[in-house]
Amino acid sequence: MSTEDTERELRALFAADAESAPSAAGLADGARRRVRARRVRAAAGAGLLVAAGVVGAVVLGDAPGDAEPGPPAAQTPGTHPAAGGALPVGPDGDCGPYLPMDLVTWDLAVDGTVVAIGPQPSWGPEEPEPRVEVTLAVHEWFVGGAGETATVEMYPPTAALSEPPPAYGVGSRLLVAAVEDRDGGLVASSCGFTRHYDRVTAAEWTAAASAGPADGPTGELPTDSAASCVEEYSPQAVADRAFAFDGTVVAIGPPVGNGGGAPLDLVGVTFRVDEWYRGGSGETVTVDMDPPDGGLRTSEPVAVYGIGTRLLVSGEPRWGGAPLDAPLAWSCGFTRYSDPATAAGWAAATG
Amino acid sequence: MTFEQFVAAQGQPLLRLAFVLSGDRHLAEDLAQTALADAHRHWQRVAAAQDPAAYVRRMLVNAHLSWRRRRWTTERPVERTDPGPPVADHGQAVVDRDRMRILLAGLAPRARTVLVLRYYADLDDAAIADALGITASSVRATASRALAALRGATTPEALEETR
Repeated sequence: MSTEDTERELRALFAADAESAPSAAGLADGARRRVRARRVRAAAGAGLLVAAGVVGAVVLGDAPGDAEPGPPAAQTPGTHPAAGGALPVGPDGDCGPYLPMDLVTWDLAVDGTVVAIGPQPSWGPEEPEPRVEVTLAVHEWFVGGAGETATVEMYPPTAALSEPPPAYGVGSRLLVAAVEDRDGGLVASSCGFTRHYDRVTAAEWTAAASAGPADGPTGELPTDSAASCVEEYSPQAVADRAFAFDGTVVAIGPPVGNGGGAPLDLVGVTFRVDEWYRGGSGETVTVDMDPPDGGLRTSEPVAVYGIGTRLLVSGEPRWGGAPLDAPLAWSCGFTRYSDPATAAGWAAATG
Repeated sequence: MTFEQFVAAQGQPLLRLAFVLSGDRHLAEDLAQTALADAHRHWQRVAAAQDPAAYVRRMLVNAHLSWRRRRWTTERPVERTDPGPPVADHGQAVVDRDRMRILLAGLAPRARTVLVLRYYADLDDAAIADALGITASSVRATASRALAALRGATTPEALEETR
């Protein structure tokens, strides 16, 4: 069969399939229902801050004192001043990864202290989810505005709870990103973008807002999904790694740490280091990493990094010892594409 | 242009593309609604785009690829419930199309998507590259390999050997 025959056959097949597509009637209504459902999830995400606020310091390992509480005199009894670091998501998990660089896609993003929580408005039968207007005294605008206060719609502080304390209250200092609704309201969103204040995240948001949209890949390097992770990634967790740096790949060669035990499918990647956060000081360093295809088993070649890729890398010496003895770059988010926001977060967490 | 006007004009083409990409009516509706909900959420930006239809098509393709990647290691879709319209030599046409569908199902999600965008949506390599967030040369290479795999494999078993 010639290429032309194959192309002709594909055109005919796809055209025939398209004729069998379902009708688009009701498509707009379906999209609107999804938007409304997302509003519920966004609001519920704010409600989930309750659990995160209660246990965040234990589960997420936030360092005491890292967060800066709101004004004690204004604190509503029973509220949590600021556990920080929580990544609330909607109940059904319909969130992409939380990437600080995405902050610029929101219509508003502020660091503010709650000064007023309004009554629950009536939205009519179409939108029964409870929301309240929350007014924040703004400490810093990251995206989309100016002025001393901002008002956003959030889930009521106690609505998702069976018992107190509430998720937030007057005096709580929050980092909030919101999207402008079609009716002009600003709806605070979850998926990591509504959270108690902490210093590291605020630094990430500041950098993200000044850097603008990412023009390259962001987030963690793709890896084999079967890989297990012994520790959850966070900028704070990077401070516990033996080494951490921001560097650019200049060479890929044989691994440096396969001599002491079972060989792994690793390569030795040499970086020109732009900034050391922990564990080293040289201009270059070679660490063992997953190969450039990330261990992904796909039928077509996929290069998740290569010569010239700039990465944030952290990890441990494979067999113990000094930080750069047979250094092994951890996956699971601890090695990721470099962007200004994440780099600022690493600097703040390790500084 | 309002959101409603956009859906009225572009809803059916988007749904058809989603169906050709996914081969599943429910999944296609899910994909189209997801893309349109994203568009609704950022409507000011979509409406301000130079080509709003291309903007939303990219949302749809990205959602499709994201969903496909999650299932790629375990799934080999080879069936389609809709037989397509009747043709003159119905029996042979059905056999040929089934064979091609099986071969397409054996391709990686991105390769299959490139073929759909090129031979169904009639996008040029630059537009496909934009929709997929890759380079035009990568589009050409992916399409070339995919076509070669389809040409060289007459059975699913043969295609499997090309992986």
